[in-house]
Amino acid sequence: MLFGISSALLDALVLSVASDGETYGYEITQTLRKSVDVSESTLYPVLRRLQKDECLSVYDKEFSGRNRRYYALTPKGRSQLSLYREEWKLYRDKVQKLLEGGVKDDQNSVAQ
Amino acid sequence: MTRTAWLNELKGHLSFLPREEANEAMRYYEEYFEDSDLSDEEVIAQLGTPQSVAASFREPDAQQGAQASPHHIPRWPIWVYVLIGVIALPILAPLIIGGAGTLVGAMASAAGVLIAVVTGMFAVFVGLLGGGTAMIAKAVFMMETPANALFAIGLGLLAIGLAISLGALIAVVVVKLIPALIRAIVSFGTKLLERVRKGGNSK
Repeated sequence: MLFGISSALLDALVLSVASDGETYGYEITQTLRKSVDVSESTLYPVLRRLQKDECLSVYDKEFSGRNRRYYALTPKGRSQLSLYREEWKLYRDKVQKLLEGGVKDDQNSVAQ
Repeated sequence: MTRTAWLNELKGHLSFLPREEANEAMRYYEEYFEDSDLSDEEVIAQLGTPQSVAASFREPDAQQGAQASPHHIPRWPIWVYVLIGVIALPILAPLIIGGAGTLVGAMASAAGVLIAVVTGMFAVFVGLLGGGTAMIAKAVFMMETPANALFAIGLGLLAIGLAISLGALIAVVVVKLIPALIRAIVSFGTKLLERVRKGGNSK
């Protein structure tokens, strides 16, 4: 991937995957890797941090005769995710504008 | 490398973590092997070395979401720098002081010359003014013969006129030239400092 995923963006992506429903480590990794180039070793620290920040709740559920660790979005995680989604829209639009040109002509845009 | 060997190595590398954290991490990766439909070798190929995985715990540098390479900049211990400083000091100090001294000396002598010139001009100004006025006064009060008096008054006025022009010149030098010179020196010095600072910051 040319542009890479920043730490904040990775958080957002993980939360977004969790918003689809409870999920587990391997599933998160695979879902992400279908679209973006993330290393498996970076994912666990992200999960750990999100858990510590109380954006994800962690619990065990039985699966095929063993315990599997699941992650689910907390209310705090949900609001954090909306924040990220808003931020992403702003960021995406700004980058889009710059890349597609026509920023110089826009006298009224407020630089942030 | 087998799954167990890989996991054991990881456990070793995670020894810096508190017990519970390490256990959680181990649990995660054990489950990862379990849940994956890939073979153990393939999973290991995906995950990388236990070392790199452990490294991602130290500094969550997900700048690229990619593997954080432990980028160690070789840094010398402080005592090396101190030693270099101590050794270099006897050589550098005289050089620096000498250089600074020369610079100050040059600036001082330049300032001195400027002051001397202005003072000289001022002395001439005073002399002309005084002399001119005296001539006129003598001509008027001593009541010389008209021819002599006119001549004296003429000379006197000439002197005063010269004095006024000189006075104007002095005024220009003091009010305009010298401040401009000072400003030029200051801005030059500032630009020099900026370049030094920028040079240090650019990476």
